[in-house]
Amino acid sequence: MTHDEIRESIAAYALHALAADDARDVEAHLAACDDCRRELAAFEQTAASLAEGFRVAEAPGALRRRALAVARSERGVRPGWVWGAALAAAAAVILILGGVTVSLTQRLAALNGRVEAQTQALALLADPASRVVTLSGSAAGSVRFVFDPATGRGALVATGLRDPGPDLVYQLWLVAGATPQSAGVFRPASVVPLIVAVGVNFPRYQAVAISVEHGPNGAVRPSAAPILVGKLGGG
Amino acid sequence: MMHGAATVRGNLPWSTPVLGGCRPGRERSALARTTAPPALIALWLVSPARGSAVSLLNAEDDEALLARVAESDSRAFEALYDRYSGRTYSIAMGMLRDPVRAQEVTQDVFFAIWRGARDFDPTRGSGRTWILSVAHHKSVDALRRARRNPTVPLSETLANDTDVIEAAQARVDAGHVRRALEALSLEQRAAIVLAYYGGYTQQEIAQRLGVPLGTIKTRIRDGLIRLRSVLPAPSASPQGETVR
Repeated sequence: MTHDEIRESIAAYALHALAADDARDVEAHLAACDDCRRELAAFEQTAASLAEGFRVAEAPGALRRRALAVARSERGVRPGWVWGAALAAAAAVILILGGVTVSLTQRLAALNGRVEAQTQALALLADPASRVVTLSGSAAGSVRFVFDPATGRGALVATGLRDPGPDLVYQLWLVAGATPQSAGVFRPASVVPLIVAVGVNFPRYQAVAISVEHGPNGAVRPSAAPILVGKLGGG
Repeated sequence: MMHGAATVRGNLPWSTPVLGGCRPGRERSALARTTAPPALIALWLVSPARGSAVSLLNAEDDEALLARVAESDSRAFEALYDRYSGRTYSIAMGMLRDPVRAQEVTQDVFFAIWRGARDFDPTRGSGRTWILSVAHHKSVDALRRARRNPTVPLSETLANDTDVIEAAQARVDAGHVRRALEALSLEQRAAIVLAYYGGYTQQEIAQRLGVPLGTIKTRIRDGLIRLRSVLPAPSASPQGETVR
């Protein structure tokens, strides 16, 4: 495309209203054209004002920990590609924490989160394309992992897991080759099934495993042998 | 909610060594906190591991925080989260109408900020503009994925053009933005609302409205230029993004 043709699309680009291939053309041009970059900057500022148009909604309190986890786990480390994959997996995790409810707001947020995770697990269980893997090992309890390789959604459904002990948490790992990647930490809830929802590219992983780690954040690499393992099959 | 006693040790032979290390250390630090002399407490207050450091960060502007995030400063990242999570979640929730997806998008956005802060160029626009652009972009991507995925029930599988425009326009809640949009011609407003709030591409808009693509480009462009003159300039205060 010519400069003039690109220029006609800069406003739409600022609103994210270009198809992916058109957006790539514009980006290639922007890298080399100061005029178009200036033009884009002005349009983007107006677009940011449009962002104020949405109804104000409060981010659930429990989200903060999950969203910031990437920085905690990466502090001081130059990310290589393995790290990138692990962090992507960690960032995609929806984790429902029991037992850390301090205020009513947090309790409500935790409850909302749990309902959402249960909804996702129910949808997975109802979907004929989903696969179910039962984890086995040394720990008591019924722990199954249900996932849909096509959509990349999965959920760990656990009942009857015992409290791991003070200051300890269960940590869920996705295993690709010899590299376990954290998919989040959790503590068992006493009555209802505990559900940990996960969204990743499942064909990459051969197994899911659970180990016991220090709370509240778990470990970067498993520090102990897994107590439960389930094979995801495939490759 | 949690009643479980620590009766599980016997079942977890590999984990028992782990039990020893953690608690005594914690108790020691709690003790030190309550019995430390005033001078030590003062030192503890100004140490970067505590709240005063965060409040200093809160006085920094978005661009300074992004520069720190580019250097992997996790406290600056937290300060940015506290400043922009509400607005980001509002954008995602407004676009997707689904708390689970909105939370996923919010996480994606902050992941992108953490990894992409090095790409932020303060000579090309404010940090606020950059962050809100990332938030909208991720929300649009998620909305388009949801539309492609037929198993997701969307509230707006609407056939009628007017319905589609109204559904997109219903996402505009703030009075000052509504009034600014009313300053546009009907055609410009429809194009901009469908693009920004509806998440449609310019091709999709042209098809839906049955007008040439070039016309839609012109309406979006002229509409945005007009909006620029009627929308109030964004506030530049460091805490300007506190969502009530």
